[in-house]
Amino acid sequence: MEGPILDFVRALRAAGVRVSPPEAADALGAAAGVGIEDRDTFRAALRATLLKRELDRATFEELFSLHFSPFGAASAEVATPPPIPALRPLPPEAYDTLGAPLQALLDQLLAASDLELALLVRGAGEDALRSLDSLLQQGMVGRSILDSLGAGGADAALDRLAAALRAAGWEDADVRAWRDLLRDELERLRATVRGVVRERYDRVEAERRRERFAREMGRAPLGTVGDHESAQMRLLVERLGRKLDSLPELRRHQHKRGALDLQRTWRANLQCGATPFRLRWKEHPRRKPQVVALCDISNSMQSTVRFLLHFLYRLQDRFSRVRTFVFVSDVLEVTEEFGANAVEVAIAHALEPPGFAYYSATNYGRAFERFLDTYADAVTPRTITLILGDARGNHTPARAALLAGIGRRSRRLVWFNPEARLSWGLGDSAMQEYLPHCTQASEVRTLTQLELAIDSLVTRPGGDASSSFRDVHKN
Amino acid sequence: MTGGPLLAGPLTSVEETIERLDAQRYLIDRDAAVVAYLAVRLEKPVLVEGPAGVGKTELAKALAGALGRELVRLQCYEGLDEAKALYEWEYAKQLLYTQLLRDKLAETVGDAATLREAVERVAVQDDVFFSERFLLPRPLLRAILSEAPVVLLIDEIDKADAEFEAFLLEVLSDFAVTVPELGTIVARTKPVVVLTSNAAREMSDALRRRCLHLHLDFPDAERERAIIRRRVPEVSEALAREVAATMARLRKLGLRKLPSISESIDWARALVLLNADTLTPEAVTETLSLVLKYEGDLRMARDNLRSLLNPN
Repeated sequence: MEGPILDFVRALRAAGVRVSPPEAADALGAAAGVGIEDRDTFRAALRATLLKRELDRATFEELFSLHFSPFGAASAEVATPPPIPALRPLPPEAYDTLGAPLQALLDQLLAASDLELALLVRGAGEDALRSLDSLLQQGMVGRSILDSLGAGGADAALDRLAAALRAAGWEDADVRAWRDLLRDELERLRATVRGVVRERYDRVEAERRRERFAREMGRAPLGTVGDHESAQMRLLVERLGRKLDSLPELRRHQHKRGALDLQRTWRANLQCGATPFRLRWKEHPRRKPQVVALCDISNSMQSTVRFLLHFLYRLQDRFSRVRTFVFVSDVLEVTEEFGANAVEVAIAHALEPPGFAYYSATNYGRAFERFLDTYADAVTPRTITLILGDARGNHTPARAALLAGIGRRSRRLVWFNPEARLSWGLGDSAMQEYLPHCTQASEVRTLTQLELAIDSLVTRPGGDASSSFRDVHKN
Repeated sequence: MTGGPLLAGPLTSVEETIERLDAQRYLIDRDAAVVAYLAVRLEKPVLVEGPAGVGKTELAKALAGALGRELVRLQCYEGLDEAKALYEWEYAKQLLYTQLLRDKLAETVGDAATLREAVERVAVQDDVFFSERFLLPRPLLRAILSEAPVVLLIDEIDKADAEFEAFLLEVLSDFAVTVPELGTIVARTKPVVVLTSNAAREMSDALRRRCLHLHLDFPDAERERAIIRRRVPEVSEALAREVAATMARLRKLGLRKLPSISESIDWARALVLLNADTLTPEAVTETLSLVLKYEGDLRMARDNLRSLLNPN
């Protein structure tokens, strides 16, 4: 059973589920522990060892049904073997007409349960199945598996057997009984082969679909994927969120207790003659890791803003110290909205905040000014300030100095721009003026680019926005 | 109700796991039973995740009962550290001993010519004070030092800090802990470890890798009815069914806090005490506060009372 389980593990990995070698080994152990007779139990065992995050569940279930199709008694496609009737024993010379390979095969068939039969076919067809690539090859692959099992020319062999039996003076009824039994067994084998081949083809097809999906998803502009927040989409955003886990600014706690504080210990133990019964420890100043995200929700951002807000929502969902703001020419904090509402509602609210001059023209300069006026305390030297916007301010003054001010206050200033790098600075885009003040600026038109941008956000050592280190992330 | 000596042995099959947990009045579904069985069989820790009140902690307790083992419980909280989870040197006791043994100490160092020599002599003997005698074992160390195998429940691991989680890895993969003064202590008997999490924080991959994983969710109405009947035998079949069905509808209302299984059990118990044999609007209004713990949730449920009790 090892082969199929390892194949399954490979498929899980290909689909983006992380499975480590020890986990694969656990899966083999668990499968051996519960056996493979009961499909549900077997699935539960694999689930316990391979599926460690609820969010991968759909992938797991889909792949499981592709890899371990029920070729057990439950399957309608494969007939259950009839109990072998007590037949007149075959005379050896007639039996020999079948030839040794077919004899061996029939012996196996008569003894095999459906599950064993399926395993037998899988084992024999390993190489042939690997070459399976298109729908049209199914018949050929099936035939080659049957041949390798020794079932090629079986019908002719059965005819020879019948003739030999008749020649030995058997009655018609007895001859037919044997012939029907063997033919049924061979039919059972053929049905299993068809099933196994079909199953493998489905798997090949599903893998291809998945690859295609990932490729297209990666390339599609964010605007087109943002509209339907399907389960797949959530999965992808969740993956991005997981990447951010390793961001030092977002790690939850620092050590609570510092080194021994001799002075305070001394003072606390004065009453017992300074014998240190009660120890006192230095406290670490609590770091307050923070991300402050500013998202442009103006008309020019319309196509991508839903997706970006979705992303910010997930970000805030995962980490307690994320504050989210939206702006057009005014700035408004939506952290509370995001915290209290389901994603759809929260995004709808964030897109049309009450008491917000939404239809005013975008004005980055004024938005920065308002932000610094109202929420300046949100940005501390520990903060990553993340700006999501196209920098198109309708030819209003860019006031890059204000952005520089925000950058100085924060640890890093990161800009994600949903426009192509080539058009930065064209028309009313003030991106070129803002660029020098950003620690990192990335073009995020597609999911792949967003992933890359987050990767570089995570892997880059924490460069200080106020230092002279001001290179711009190129991709 | 508890498993007698006959039942206290290793589990041999999934069916037996289900039966023996049932004898502990814990109704388990097959998938979860497979995981419980594998945990015992493969000697691997289990990470149980799921919403609050679906019986994650109960599972560990029932498993301990079913295996006839002692349950050692470590409740996690923010700021939990090794000293509280693993061991602490009994500082006061050490101090007391040095005071009581002052004469003996004086004898040891009495004829030392120099301070250096005196320190040397004490140093030779210092392992007397750093021995297991002065070690105050906390749950983790207790589980590892125990002569008889135990079930170790590490409850609400998501509440503990990431550092503590990392520290747990040694315990989970090798069933061993390292005390700097004593060296590494390997478990005398391998405990069955159950970790529970409400997913307040995402657990690290390293932890997940070392554990079997079980996701427990709210049961369907049928299983919940069976659970209520199992835990509150006095309740009538019909009432149990009504309670279970109402609970299922309540959970779909979009409440702030979903009512848990333990709350359905409490509810059924209260209804029995009030001699209610069917769920009338009056009985529900009177007892609803047992099930819903937020004012807003209560109001929402009262507003939808009719459709809750009578969906058609």
